Amino acid sequence: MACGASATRCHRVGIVKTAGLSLDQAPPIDIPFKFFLTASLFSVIIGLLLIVKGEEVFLSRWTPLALGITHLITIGFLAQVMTGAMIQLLPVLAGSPIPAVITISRIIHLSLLSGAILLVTGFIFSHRFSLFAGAGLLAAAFTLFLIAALISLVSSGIRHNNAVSLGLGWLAIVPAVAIGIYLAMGLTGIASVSDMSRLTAIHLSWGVLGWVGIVLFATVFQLIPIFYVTKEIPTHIRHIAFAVIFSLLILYSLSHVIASRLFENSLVLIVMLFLLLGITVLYAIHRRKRKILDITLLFVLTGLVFLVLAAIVWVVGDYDLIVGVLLLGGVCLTIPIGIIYKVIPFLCWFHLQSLQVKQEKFSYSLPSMKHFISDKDAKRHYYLHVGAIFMVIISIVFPGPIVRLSGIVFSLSSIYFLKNVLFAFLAFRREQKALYV
Amino acid sequence: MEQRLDVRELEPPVPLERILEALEELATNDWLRVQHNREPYPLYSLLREMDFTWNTKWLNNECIIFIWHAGHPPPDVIG
Repeated sequence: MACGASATRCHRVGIVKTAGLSLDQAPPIDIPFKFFLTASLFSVIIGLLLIVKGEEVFLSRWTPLALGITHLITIGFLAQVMTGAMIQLLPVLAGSPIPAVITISRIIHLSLLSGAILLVTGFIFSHRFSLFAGAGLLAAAFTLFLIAALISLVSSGIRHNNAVSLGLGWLAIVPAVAIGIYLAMGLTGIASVSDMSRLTAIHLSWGVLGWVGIVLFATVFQLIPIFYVTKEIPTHIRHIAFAVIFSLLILYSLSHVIASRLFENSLVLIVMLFLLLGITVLYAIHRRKRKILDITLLFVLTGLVFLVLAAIVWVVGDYDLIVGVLLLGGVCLTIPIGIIYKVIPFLCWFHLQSLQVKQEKFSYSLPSMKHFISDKDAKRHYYLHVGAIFMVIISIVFPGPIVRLSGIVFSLSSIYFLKNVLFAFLAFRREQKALYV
Repeated sequence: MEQRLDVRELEPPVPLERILEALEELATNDWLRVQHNREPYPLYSLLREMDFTWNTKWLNNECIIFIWHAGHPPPDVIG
């Protein structure tokens, strides 16, 4: 139960007050835009690297460039998008603001930005100092974010039903970063790491399946019922699924020290669970009453199809690079882009609506959500993006000139994404200015 | 007198828009009863700014929000 404005009277009549964010507490909209724009710039760099050094990237997943590109996606793109979205969405959707949000988000953003640049240059140029400085900055950024998010949830007093799932996902970044730093020590000869390949697989599992996988699905479970009016996926099913995935990741990690077929096979179970979760989301979308195929929903659906394809290719045989592209490019880029295209216009609209109320300018006609990112622009980006993913996969199977071509299409797709986010921001600024006049 | 609004099947931001429209028309002694499928946290900040008081409760998996003008007694239906 919640009671606003005249809280004293409400307490007197026995109504309990819960959180409701004041307009002043809502983080400025520049914050998520800064994170999203930086993410799109990293995406452009990936495309450029494919154009310049494409052939080298796909020689094996162990090449410095392949490692660099993997981290450009996970740290350069995903970490920016996921932290930026969380900082903004926690207050708006759950009523729990991040403390000192402007300062904290600035530190996190700069640490993630410089950390990603240093880490990736460390990989590509085999530069020890860059690698460790980057890893250190990233560890600091994640630590600060985790503490800030925890304080915000605890202080708001909200027992949000998605907090457990999101919390588990963000907790998975801890072993991912810790193992990552240990691997970097092994790579640079500071420590002697036994079975580097197995430990890398564990690092990758915590990062991609634990952190990205759980946070992404928890976010999808949170946002799909809100934005596409589907039935809620029961909370206990989500909690159990994510807790099992987390436990299986621990078992898989133990396979590094205890030789056990059961521990090793836990990875298969995790993939199966994600497939089940994906099918659950597809079913919820299929059962919704208003069956409009919104372009943002098409991004999410395509991401889920890429997940199924990745699982099939993984089961069929030894095609690590293709599985990697399907997972990182197909799932981990496509679904967040769809979510961003839905969330940005809503945030723009909400901030303008709040400003309108505050300025008492009720005669001013607010633009619709489509004004910020039109369907036409999102659709063009969709075709470029999906085309780029398929071209990258084709260039792995048939190496040659198509590698550079796939890089060109990927770059165009990323530039289009950058343009869409930037134009949405500029459109917001214009409307905001008009409301202040 | 109670005014009713059902926004359960609407996609954002339409529920918020409809609620704000209904509040513009709300007579001083009336209250608005909104049926929602989730707790609308973004709405609360706007209500506070617009000088409304609200009470939210969950009934049979539905979120019911009663909204009335601040400074007026809460509707009897809240209990």
